[in-house]
Amino acid sequence: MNNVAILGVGMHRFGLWADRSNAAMAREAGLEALRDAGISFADVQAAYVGHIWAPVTAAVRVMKEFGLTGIPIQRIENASATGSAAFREACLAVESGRYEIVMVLGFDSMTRMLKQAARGPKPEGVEDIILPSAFFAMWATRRMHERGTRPEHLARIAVKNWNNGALNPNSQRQADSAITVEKVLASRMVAWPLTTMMSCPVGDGAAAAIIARPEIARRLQPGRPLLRVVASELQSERYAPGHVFQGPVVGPAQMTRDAAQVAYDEAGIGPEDLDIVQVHDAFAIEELEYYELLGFCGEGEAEKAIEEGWFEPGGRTPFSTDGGLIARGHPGGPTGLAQIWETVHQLRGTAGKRQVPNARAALCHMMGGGSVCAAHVLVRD
Amino acid sequence: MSNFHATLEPERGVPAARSPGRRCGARTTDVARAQRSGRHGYSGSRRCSGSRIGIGETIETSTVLAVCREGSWPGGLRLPQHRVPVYTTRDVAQEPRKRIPLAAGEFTVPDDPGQPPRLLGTRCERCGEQFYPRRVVCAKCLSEQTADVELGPRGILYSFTFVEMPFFGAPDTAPAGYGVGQIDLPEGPRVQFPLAGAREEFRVGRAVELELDTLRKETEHDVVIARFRPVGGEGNEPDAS
Repeated sequence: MNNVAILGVGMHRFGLWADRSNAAMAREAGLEALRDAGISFADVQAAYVGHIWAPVTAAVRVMKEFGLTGIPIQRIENASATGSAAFREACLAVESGRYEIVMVLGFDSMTRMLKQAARGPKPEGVEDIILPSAFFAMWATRRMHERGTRPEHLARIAVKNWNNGALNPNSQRQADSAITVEKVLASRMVAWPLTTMMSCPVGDGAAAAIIARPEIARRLQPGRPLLRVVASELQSERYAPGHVFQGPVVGPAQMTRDAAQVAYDEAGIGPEDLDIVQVHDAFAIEELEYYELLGFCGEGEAEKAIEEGWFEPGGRTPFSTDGGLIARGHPGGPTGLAQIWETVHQLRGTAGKRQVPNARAALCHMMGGGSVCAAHVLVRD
Repeated sequence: MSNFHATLEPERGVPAARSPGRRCGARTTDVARAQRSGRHGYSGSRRCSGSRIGIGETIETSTVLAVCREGSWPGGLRLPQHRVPVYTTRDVAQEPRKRIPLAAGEFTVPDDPGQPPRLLGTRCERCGEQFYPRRVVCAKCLSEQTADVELGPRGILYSFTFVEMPFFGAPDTAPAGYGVGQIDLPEGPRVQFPLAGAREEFRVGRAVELELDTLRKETEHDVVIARFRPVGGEGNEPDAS
């Protein structure tokens, strides 16, 4: 990917915002992104909008908050990877030359969704009771069996992400004192061995980005470093023995390995060249597995790497610098764009207390139930 | 001859908490599940959770699902009657209630309640790969030459967890939560199902067997789901950790 730059980002803090509409949260995130880009909505030629839980037509109706200019508006949904998939479509549209400036918007309100679900019919299938937490807990059980992983390893990942989140003003979870392994392990069990503090929270929020051709970024933002998207990959599953067809989340490990490899090849870099990484850490065991699958340590080395703090702030390659899904939150539609928000600020050097010194290259990885894997590589020129 | 042990779970799916709950806790090697006809057509192995019953006591067979004894099952022995109050008192001669699956097309519901259900799967006639649930096109070689097969009922637990929430939002069925497992079937597919049994029984590599459990009783029939339950013996791979 050679002709895609990020002009601006915006975000409405994730949290439990029962009194705020999707439109209000999306307006705040979108207007901030437009201001950050230094453009007006009149300059936007197309919009790619991601949401999971809102009803049909929500994308087009929410976009009216910015004005009615007749541009094409396309809703995109890919479960947890919704925001990432919308971002990818925007990048492809600019890369193709069809549009010069486009907007990506993601929003969702899980509190509204849950309120409506409570009024609806009860779960009626076995698939409805095998929750994502159960699915990923089974990753953990298997890993413990094969590699001797201990709950403390999972807790250390959660501790890192909680404490990163406390430094991020847009993080849903902002603990007022340092989180410890003991605290994480003592929190309520969700699905053994995963506790609530090892799992992402229910939340609401919005995030947005403005994508443009690099020459536009250079012209509009002469004083700023140019941030380019140099790889975009989206994969669904390839059949392999042991594939589980039922349940809300599947996702064989190989899909993450393959998607990352294609993204690395496209970017012409490897994991050793990356300064920061954001992943789909909906549950702590996922981040542990992704250390290996994304190539940041060898197979079976994740536990040792955790013990040695490779992925903590100041470590070899900081992961989930904004708190990740566990702390920053995971409303659905905007989650992948929150990763972009964090990455843009890190690459610009405007990430405040959580700034990774001289971050130049970054990976954003997301999984989506069903399942899919998205990988984007962003670099500062 | 020593005592017999009988589990007093009245009907499968009816909350165990409401059964008399006198546990003998003995590890048994032979369990015979009494049919409604009074015959014992099923045998497996599991921990007895029922009461200790003396020789000469009679058991109301319509209310007893498993009768066990340390040692061998004495074939043809009359079931002893027992005096502990039991949960149901349906007539032995009454026809078994009709059982309806929660969702059609997933598993068999044998007429004989002593027989385990099987999973409704698909076999590719071209490449031989087998799948659960049913599908038309082979996911591996994309052939449309596929045939219906029945899979299981035995498998090996690949992984598991215990979800700390009421099962199906129904506190009666499993108030403390429920197990979920991924099970490798000998035919190839890895399937994901709720687990029956206590959480201490779940172990990676353990042999499990499919069974039907009543989720709820309706006027005309019982609505059943399929769950895998740990069973003893073969196929248990050693723990690596």
